[in-house]
Amino acid sequence: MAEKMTTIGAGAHFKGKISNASTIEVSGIVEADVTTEKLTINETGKFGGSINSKLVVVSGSYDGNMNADSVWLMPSSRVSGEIKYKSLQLDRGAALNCRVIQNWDEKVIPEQEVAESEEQKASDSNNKQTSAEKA
Amino acid sequence: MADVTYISPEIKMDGILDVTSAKGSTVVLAGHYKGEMRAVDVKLESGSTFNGKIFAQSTEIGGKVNGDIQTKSLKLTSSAKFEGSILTDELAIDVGAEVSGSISKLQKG
Repeated sequence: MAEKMTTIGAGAHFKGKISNASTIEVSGIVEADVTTEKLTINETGKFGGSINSKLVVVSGSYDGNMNADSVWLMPSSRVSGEIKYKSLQLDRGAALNCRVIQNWDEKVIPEQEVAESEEQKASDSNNKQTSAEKA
Repeated sequence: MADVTYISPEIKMDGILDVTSAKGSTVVLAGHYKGEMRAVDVKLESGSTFNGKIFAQSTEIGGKVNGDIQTKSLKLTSSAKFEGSILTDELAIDVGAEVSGSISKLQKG
């Protein structure tokens, strides 16, 4: 397992894109969009960008759109942006300045279908209008 | 250990990595990287791929590299496949390494 863990060290600054990762630990500064299974932002770590992960543990600072099954915000964490989660643990002392959304159903209803059903509703109401006009 | 930047085997990274600050300076790449890397020590492990530019004090290459390297000392191990340009003062190439491109000295004179 240790072999699969990617570490961004305390003095490192990465800007770009990270994909195909399983476990990432950030002690440095990262500005990136990341898809992973587990992401840890250590106390010295700063992360900016979107995260798509099963588990996110934040001890450092984060700014961006996070989409995670489990989110754990440690006492030293500072978070801004948006968090979409299934389960959230917020420790006493954590600084949270963000939008928080619990999203149990997001995976069940993909965005496209929602848009389509809304279009359908719109066309239905249009039809109703025209039929009402006809009457 | 928190000072070392390690990029694991299956990962893909695309961008700019700067590890020149005093706190941490070593980068070990086992995965796939595209872009620019600045560090003191860079090690590209066997099985890794790199596409872009490296600026470092010492560099060891065991993977597949396509790009430009500017480093004080460079070692290409037997598993290295290199294509591009090398600017270095100290160079070591192991038997079995595939190298194509240009090699010049960092400091002239």
